[in-house]
Amino acid sequence: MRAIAEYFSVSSEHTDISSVPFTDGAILLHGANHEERSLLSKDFEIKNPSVNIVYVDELDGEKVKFSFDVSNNTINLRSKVDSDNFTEFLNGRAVYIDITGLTHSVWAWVVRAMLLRDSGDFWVIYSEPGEYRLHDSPLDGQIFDLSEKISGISPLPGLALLTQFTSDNFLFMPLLGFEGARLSHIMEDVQPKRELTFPVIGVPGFQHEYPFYTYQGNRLALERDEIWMNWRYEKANCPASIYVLGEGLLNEYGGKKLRIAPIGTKPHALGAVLLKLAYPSKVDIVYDHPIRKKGRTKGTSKTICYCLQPFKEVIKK
Amino acid sequence: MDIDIVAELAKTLGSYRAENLGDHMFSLYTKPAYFPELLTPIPCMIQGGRGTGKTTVLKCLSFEGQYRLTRNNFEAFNNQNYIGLYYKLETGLVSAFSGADKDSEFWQKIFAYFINLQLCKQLCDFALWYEDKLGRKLSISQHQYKIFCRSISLEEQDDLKSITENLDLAIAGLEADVNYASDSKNTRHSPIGAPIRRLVKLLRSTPELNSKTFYFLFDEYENLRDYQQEILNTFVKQADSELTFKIGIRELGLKTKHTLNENEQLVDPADYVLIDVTGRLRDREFEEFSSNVLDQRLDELRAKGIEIPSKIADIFEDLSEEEEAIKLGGEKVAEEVRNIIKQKGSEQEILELTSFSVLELSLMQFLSGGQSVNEVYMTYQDAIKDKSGWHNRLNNYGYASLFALRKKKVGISKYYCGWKTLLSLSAGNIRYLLQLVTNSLIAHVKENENFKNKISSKCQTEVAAEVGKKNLLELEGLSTRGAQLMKLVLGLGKVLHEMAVQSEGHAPEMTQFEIFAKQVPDDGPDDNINQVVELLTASVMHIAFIRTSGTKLSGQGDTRDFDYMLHPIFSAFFVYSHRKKRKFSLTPEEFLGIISAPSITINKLLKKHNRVVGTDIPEQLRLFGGYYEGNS
Repeated sequence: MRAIAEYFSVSSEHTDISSVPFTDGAILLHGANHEERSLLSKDFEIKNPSVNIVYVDELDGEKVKFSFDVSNNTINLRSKVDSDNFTEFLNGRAVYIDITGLTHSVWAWVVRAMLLRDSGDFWVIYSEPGEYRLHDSPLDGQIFDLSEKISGISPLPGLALLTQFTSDNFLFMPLLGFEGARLSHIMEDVQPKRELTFPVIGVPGFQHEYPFYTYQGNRLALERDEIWMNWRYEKANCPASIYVLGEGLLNEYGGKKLRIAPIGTKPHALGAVLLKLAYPSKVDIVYDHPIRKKGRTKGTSKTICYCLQPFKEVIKK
Repeated sequence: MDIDIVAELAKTLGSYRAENLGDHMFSLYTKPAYFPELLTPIPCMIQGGRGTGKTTVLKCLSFEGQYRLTRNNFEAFNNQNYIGLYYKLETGLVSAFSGADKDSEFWQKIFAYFINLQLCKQLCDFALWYEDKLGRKLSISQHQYKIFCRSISLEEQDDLKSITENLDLAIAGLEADVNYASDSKNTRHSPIGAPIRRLVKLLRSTPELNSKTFYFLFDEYENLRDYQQEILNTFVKQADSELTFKIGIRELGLKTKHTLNENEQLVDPADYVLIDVTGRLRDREFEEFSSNVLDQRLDELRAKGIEIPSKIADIFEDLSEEEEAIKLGGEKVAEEVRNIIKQKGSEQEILELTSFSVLELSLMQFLSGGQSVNEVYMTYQDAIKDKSGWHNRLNNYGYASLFALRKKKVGISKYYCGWKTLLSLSAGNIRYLLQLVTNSLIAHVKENENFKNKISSKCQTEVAAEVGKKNLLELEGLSTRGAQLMKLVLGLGKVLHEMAVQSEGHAPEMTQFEIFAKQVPDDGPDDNINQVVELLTASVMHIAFIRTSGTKLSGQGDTRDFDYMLHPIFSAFFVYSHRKKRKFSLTPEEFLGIISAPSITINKLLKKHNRVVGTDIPEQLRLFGGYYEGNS
């Protein structure tokens, strides 16, 4: 719990990424997608001259190119050697990663590598969207038009857990977003037990009305199996609250494993990854790898910088 | 409204997912007619869609299930001649064994080794459980345990508990090889099945277990990749009286019949028996099975003090076609026909009017296109002259004509009611049937009705439409192609609806379709055909469609091996006939157009079948207006 308290005392909110008070000489791992909020402003380097930007390009689901100045390095996310080299390269440096434009596969891998380093501070930056794009022709429960399709359920690179789950031996904690079909799809595969399912809605949401949209989007699945009975509300932009909730459930239901489906906000997904790193053999992440739609968001609302340094201790244990 | 009754109905009848039933699953378990076939050492593939009871059957075959089914009586359990070990092949788990730029040989070795470890662990878990119930250790020598450990590259151990723990550690060790497969130098491997068989032999060497056959119960076999199925197919081919396999799989889920030996395939029935649950349960067998399942649950409700009939079939109001015609306002149409005959007919013809029912008279107008007075009169005259011919027309068109009686009017325009109809809407799917039955009962109670009165046809119809809609909405989340499947059902459902309500002068009850590609290029099927095949496969696997053997034609690269129809569960929502009747053809382009350009394609299809293109979207489909207006 000390780690969580420390985390709250040093994480901070900003108007955009340029306003984050970076440590001198820090490394910023940054990858943009097609969303406005994931781009660095033109004056970023002027405002932050001492920050060294490492550009992250996702080549495919398992390969990433990191470019710094004129050099670049392609890394295989399923390689221990590459992971060790990456960790070694950044050891002792203050590292920031902007996860806004990166897929879960990539940023979760970096978070893991950075938290297993011997030294160096580590921060995660996330920019909330100004608004999500509304669906042109919504079906029942659809509000926003966010994903092209899903690639299918498979482990995040490096985080597979080869355990046999039976409906009685695990808790299920879906971190809900707006897309109910994704929840249904994962539930169809995982087949959790009703009374051991704890859906999480982001409250307060990025916007006041978002929790209602979340309920509306997931209504079918929530009602079908009456899994709303155990739902929990956790601040949408707070990874630590997910960590605390998950840890609490693991303690309360001793002996059971915890499966988390991070299909809602990225800060919640970050909380899930932290929990997985802290309890590698007890926590399983179930993820469906959506292909994001172009133009799914507009603008940036606010940027949060999460200090993950305190979690290092917990995870290394 | 009696809340308690609603809650009890939902609890007793509405639970249909095996994972939510818990121990209740065993007390409610009803053996399907194919159950005896599962009790032989011959491998079986239980093939059926979601909700056909595969998981329930497999779980009841597991040793935990058998123990609960014998009311936790170990002696009774021990009288069974088999031990079942349930294993669900989850997508997330099996998909971990791929990628990382590794070749198939690497993944084959590592996956086979994983399966060996996992199934050995299951055998050990069972043996520990068995020893616990027995109250003593199984008589297996330490030396034999050590030999087994060596056979699976485990540190030598001389007791079951330590072996189980070591198997856990070995699986955890394999995790690192999978997670960091790119530079993994994993060298541990063992031929599929070898250590498992060795352990089975060890267990069977004891007096307590020597007559038992070990069943490996694989669920969701369709989730395996091709190479993984080849590995397990190899194991299945080795089945004998010591160990065998009972496999739950969706239709079209067996991606390959190959084994690791390229000259060898799994052959039905030489290597396994295919039990097509849906096919078998479609007719009388399904009615019998469902009645047993539901009557048993009704007994439970009555035991709780709820006054309800003992036979499920007695609870639902049924309507004959004649009664339905009257309910749909056919009397008004019949009266119009009577007036025509009274104006134009002879005295004898007028006298004969009393021998025709409301359905028959309204059918006369239907057959005459509802336009010309003379045509109605001529149809009437034909009916009098040729009674047997008329009887045939009534058989062929009577049911279809009901769809036209109240077309484009607000409210119910066709009834879906009666036990037989509910069975037919479910098409062998027990989960759908339980949804229809439970929701009808609950709606009935919510209307302040008790079970002395039958559930009205109106109530059943409204529930059937609601269940259809619910399952349509759920399609989106069932697979990676869910959104496309939903669009296909929406598009075809609208086409079938328009064809049903405008069936005057056309072949009645067009409910099936075939895909007909005029010409297949010499260099193999083009992208469109490949896409169609993938979509059809997904549709059948996720029971958006039902597939039946079609008329195989020759020439022109005809691919009409199968006929397809929307699952009848959607029929009440769209309002078309749920019965499997006549078929029409779709080209691959039309089929794909339903997804990519729905508005244009639906209109084109309706024009092709000489239907007027409806400009307005039927009331129940307005929720999906965005899709129907879409053209890109």
